[in-house]
Amino acid sequence: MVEIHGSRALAGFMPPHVLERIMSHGNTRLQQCARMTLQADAQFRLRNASAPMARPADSGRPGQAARYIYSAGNQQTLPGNLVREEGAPESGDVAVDEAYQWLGATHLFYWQVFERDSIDGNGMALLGTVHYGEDYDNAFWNGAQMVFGDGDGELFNRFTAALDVVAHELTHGVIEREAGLVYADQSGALNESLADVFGAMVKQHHFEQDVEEADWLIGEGLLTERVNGRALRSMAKPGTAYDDPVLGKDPQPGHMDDFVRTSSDNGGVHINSGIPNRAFYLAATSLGGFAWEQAGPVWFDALTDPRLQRDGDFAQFARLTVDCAAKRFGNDSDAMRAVKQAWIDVGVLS
Amino acid sequence: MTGDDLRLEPASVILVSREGGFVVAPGLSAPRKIECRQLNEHQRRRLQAVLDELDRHCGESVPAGADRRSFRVTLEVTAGRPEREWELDESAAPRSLIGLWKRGVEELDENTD
Repeated sequence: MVEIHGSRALAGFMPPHVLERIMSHGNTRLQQCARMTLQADAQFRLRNASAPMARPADSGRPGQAARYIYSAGNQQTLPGNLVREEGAPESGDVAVDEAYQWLGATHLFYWQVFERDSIDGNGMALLGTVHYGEDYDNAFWNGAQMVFGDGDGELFNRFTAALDVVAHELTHGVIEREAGLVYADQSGALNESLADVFGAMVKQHHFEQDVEEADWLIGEGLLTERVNGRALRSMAKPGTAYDDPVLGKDPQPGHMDDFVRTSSDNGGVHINSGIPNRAFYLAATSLGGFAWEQAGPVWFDALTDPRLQRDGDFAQFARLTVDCAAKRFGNDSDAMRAVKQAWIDVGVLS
Repeated sequence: MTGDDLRLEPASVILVSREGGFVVAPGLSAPRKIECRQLNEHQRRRLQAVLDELDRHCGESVPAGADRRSFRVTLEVTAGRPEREWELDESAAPRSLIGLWKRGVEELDENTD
């Protein structure tokens, strides 16, 4: 076990805050950032004082996406101004059109592979906001929609650039509607892993990649050329995605022996997700072919199984996948054995 | 806010870190450390005012979702032993805290009273 108590174990790293680096380039820039911070604070108070916006219409046709892409115009007010909706032509704004395209690819994946119609299984409208904040290095799901920053341009590109990132955020909505996994500790890491697993599969499905052709990276293309790294996470080799003077070294473990105990990041949800990520990679590559044909359906069955508890841990989910593999492909089938062995190999089952 | 009720001691140390989000990299979540013994009285009063503001924001509910970022502020008097800790979602963080995280002691020199 690796122990990190709060943030103290990280104190050895130079604190290279992204905006501080950017601001050090000039006083004008510094003033601009300070101004943006003031605006964000004012908007936060305004947002809390306003009534929530009515949601746009869900899809009326099974299997047909209902996408609504907004621009926050570099402010932090959601959802922002509607720029493109379902069926409208390209807007010419790269981030808007990427969000539209990748949400469509994700919706298509869930519909074609699992016959699931959108986030709630019932044609729920897909809302995505781009150009959120100033130099915003993040993408998130807020319980109602997906949000994407432009990146700071120094370390990170825009967050719509990677299909698997967009699919990851949409999948958080699916997880919320199905298992409702608590976003902390092992259930939170499982939540994160499932978002990565389905995010990776959406990418493989869109580009028609089998398990050998896939890169098994999460966020490939997000890092700028200044960063020494390939992506944000590696499902095949957790802990190897980047090793950079500013970002530090990818902290993900790939085995329970290296499970990280920490109070930060909701108990290391983006760190320990490396363990179930690798289990999926091992199961999928052991079975071969397309990941969404055997391993993928097993993981989906487990995610949507009512026996998966909100605070379910790795071991509970692992046992569920073995059971789901047996039900779908037969007891002692190749799939069942591959799934079980994958969890044994990462130290979750024995 | 003036921070008239000064309770921070010269030995107090404040650690400010931003956590979570889709990108969790050790280098980006490293805490900014502010040692009160290196601050003048004006700066210390302003830092106290920031902490008082956190008290008012900390009761707010944690928003739904995933990959959201949050700020963690830790007060230490004895090195390595947290006396008090605050955690706020990014959307609830007051601008004074964001400024402290971005700019450190420089934020405490701003005349925003």
